[in-house]
Amino acid sequence: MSDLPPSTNQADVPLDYDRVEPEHGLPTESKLFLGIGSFALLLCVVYFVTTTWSDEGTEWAGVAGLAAAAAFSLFFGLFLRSALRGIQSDVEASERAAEAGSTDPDEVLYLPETSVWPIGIGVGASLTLAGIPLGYWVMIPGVALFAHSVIGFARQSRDRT
Amino acid sequence: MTVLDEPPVDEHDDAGATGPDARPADAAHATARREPRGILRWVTSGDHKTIGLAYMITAFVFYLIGGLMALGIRGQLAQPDQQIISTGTYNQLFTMHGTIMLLFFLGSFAFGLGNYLIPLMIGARDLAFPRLNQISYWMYVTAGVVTLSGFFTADGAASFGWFAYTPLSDGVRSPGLGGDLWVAGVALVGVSGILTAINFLATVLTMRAPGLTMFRMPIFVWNMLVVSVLVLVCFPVLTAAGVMLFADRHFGGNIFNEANGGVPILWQHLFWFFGHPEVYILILPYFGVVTEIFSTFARKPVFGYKGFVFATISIGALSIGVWAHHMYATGLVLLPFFGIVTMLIAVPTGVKFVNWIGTLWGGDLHFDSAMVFALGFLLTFVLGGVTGVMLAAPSLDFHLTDSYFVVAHFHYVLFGGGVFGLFAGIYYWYPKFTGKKLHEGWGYTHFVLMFVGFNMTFFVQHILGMNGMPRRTASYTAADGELWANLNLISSVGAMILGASTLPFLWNVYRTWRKGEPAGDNPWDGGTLEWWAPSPPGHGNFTRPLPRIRSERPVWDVNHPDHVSLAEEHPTERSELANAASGSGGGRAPGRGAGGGSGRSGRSEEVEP
Repeated sequence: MSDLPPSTNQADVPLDYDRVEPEHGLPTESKLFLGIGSFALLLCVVYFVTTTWSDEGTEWAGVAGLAAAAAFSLFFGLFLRSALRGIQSDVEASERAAEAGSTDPDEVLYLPETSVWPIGIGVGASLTLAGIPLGYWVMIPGVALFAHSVIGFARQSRDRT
Repeated sequence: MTVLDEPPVDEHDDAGATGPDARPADAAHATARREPRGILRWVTSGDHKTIGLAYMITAFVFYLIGGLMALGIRGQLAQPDQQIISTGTYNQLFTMHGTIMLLFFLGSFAFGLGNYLIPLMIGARDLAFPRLNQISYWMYVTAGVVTLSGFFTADGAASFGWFAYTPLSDGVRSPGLGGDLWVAGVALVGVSGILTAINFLATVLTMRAPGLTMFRMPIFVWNMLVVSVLVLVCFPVLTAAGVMLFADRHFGGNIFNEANGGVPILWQHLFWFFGHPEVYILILPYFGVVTEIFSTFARKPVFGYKGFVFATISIGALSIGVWAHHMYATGLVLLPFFGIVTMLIAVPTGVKFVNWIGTLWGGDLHFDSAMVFALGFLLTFVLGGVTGVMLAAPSLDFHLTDSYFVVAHFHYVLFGGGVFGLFAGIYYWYPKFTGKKLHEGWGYTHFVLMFVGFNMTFFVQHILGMNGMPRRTASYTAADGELWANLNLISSVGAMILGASTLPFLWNVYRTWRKGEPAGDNPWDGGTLEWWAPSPPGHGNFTRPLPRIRSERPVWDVNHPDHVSLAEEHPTERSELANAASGSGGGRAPGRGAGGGSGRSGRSEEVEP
């Protein structure tokens, strides 16, 4: 957990007063993704075998889709197994820093100010894509707006003061 | 995650941030969270509540547009040999009706609810990525505009059906800008959905309040979590398929062109690999909504909480493996595999019905509008579920596929399971969104009209389908028989009633906006954390420390410290909670109604015994 002193709220928090369960072993979050991924893998194997034995032969689109679903779910489940507790401690550290009165933007949880760039990104992306069939008169402003907004978005995001 | 010592700054009350008692943290919040007002707030705000409301309002506008298209369709079919609109326009209407309702309304409204409620329900200040959230919203809005803009092109909007089967949707058979704009819009809304799902996942996994373990999360949050997983599994497939179709139409790609070695049926596989999980993406959020409502209005915890969670996960996992039950009639899919897996989904769905009935059973039931809509959901969705099992059987599906029976089935699933739940959610959380309760009388009027209109419209379509009426037919003749004519007329009259049912709702919203009474922070005696926040919540969401989280109903635990189950589970906390509740309001007991709200008690451990 955080090195920061606990707030008054947290001072007498019992040991099991945490977000991640169980205390040791695979967190529930990890089990969720491993479970879904394992089931997708099982479906993938069964689907591959049964379609291969069928008159139509192997149906690769479904096999690929199920394999991808299984692979990504299992990967994410394994990632969460090791990373989750640390991530939550980081977030909590930010919270406690704010509660302790810190105004250091690198320390407290960052809640960004308003931004006009996301609407530019959305409109720009849509104009760009719609511009392919509609013509350059739509696409060029779309690309310009999109690029300008992405740059503005990135620059604004760096400024946390 | 938010366990606050000090109230965060309310955007409407800057004095609180700059007053003499303000602490440094307050000043920091004030700097970071001062927002503009009016239209600029809606355009630039990164606050999850503003974006959530924007999602819901936008989705509702799409609902009205899609609903008008449905009225056009039913007007055309009200009588035999009717030609109110041309065949081409009819094709555009059913294509865009399906597209809007499925991709721009029902799921997007759920994203709005998730945006607003997930951080509140888990005790967080915002979503994990507020700016990404803004991008998701604006991509969604502009994708909808791009898709609809097809109506303003020379050839009209897309007219190949909402699932755009190739080769019908290729550049040869469906030329024109409308189809291109449809593909572009669908690809964009796919990206928007992926970004939202990432945001929800990151928020739920990393920003829950201390004590809020996974198995203490509200069912709505659980369902949105599973929905987010499904979105990440299937929306990339939709976007990829859209890009492929776009390449075929514009860049000479031959991915789906059989003449040059392409595989037209590949589109069906890709589309339905997205399309069937999409059904669960659309209705699982509303399963969560009605579960919260049943629990609140029955004054009971969710019956079989863990069973419900596992059922949701099972539905999500199974939904990945059933896509080709939409393709039985092609003769190119493995019938036993898809038939069995599809029927298996009925098992966890049945578990949910047991949960819902068990939650209501023996409860102290309160029949407010939200509860009535939730009960309407229960009655209508069960019929959609039963016909779904029927259609899962290939032998039946061969006869019923592409008939009005299928139209009736999926409207019972999506309207019954989705829209009834959606309105239940609106009536339930409207006080949280605005601080005012919608009028109950107008709510009942809305429900009666909607329930009658819906069943009139769609129940008879089962019979029409069994008697051979194909879906997507622009007209029929008197020679098709009196049965078709009579049932279509009933269906069309029902559709008009269904459409009219929206008027009392809109009036209710308007009158509540003008002269609604303050509802207080917790008018329903809700048990989940959003009812701990003010109504409507300001920035930072919570103005007082969160209650101790020991169950899936922490606010209930504080407001009802004598509750037996909690006392049994944590006997040592009973006296603490009793002390906490002594300074707490929020109950629905006499004298705590309008304006009462929850009290201002701190966490239980802060109260001196």
